[in-house]
Amino acid sequence: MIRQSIREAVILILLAVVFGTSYTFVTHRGLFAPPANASSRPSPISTIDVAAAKRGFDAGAALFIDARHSFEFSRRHIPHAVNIPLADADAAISRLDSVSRDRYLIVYCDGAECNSSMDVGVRLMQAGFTNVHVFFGGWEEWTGKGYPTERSAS
Amino acid sequence: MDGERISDGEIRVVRALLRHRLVVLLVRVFLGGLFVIAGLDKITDPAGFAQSILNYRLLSPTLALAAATVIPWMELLCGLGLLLGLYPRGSSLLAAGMLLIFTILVGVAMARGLDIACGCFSQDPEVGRIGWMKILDNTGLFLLGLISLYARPEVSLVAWLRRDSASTT
Repeated sequence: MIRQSIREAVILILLAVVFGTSYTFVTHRGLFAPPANASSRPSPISTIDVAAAKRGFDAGAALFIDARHSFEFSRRHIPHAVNIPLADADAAISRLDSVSRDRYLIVYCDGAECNSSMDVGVRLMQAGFTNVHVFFGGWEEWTGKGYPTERSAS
Repeated sequence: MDGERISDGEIRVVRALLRHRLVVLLVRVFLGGLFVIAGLDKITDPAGFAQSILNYRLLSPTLALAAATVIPWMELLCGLGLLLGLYPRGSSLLAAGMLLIFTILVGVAMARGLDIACGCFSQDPEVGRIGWMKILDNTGLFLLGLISLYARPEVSLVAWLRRDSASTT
């Protein structure tokens, strides 16, 4: 019985691999979504530290892009930041149509351990934005300094 | 102490109950339906599911996308298997195995202090936050998977409907 169960389960897993990859390949989603490979390519994006991010904030020149999950964004974020979670990046970036392509963009995520700020930054550049900077210290460093944050208006 | 021990007779009764056609049918319909719903929700939103996996902070984005490509189909196929009686043992084993792994992952995330959505049945971050209730839910479903695994393979919704229609004609 055990052997038969394992054999059937393996067949189901193989079918799932075939169906899953075929479906996402045909629909260009998930693993086969074009930007999924962008993160593995070296990117020309500049990185900035918390002091530079704060200067951009104080000058009011920078538009902060929050690459964290929308739930985390809804709790608190850097004031006036726009949420572009990695999973929904393409749709969210398409909503930035009214933003000038040379606008000073600062992308951040949780902190130094997350990569989504870099991934979202690459996609922003692919979308034509030319002044994209990744703030690697991210949310952790910003809040660690006690800099201002705000809650989403509900 | 002997009076508190479960007798062989009681074990036989429980075993017979858990292997009863109607009980097995209900278990497979419930578990199968649940897996079909969970699978379909994720298939329609692989990126959202990949984000849910990433929230556990165990896999890289590429591996999360790979998992989000295959796991929903595993759920759908084993859900259909349980409902239709196709590969019922393999479907039960797969369902129980996935539930065991999901339960462990929720436990690990809780131990690491993560406050995240489970990503089990919906990719809405507000729905199904992880916690002891989720562990309890998954453990219960895992036990249903074991009941289905050790039950007769021929019991399924389709077999029951066929038998029902055959008896009326």
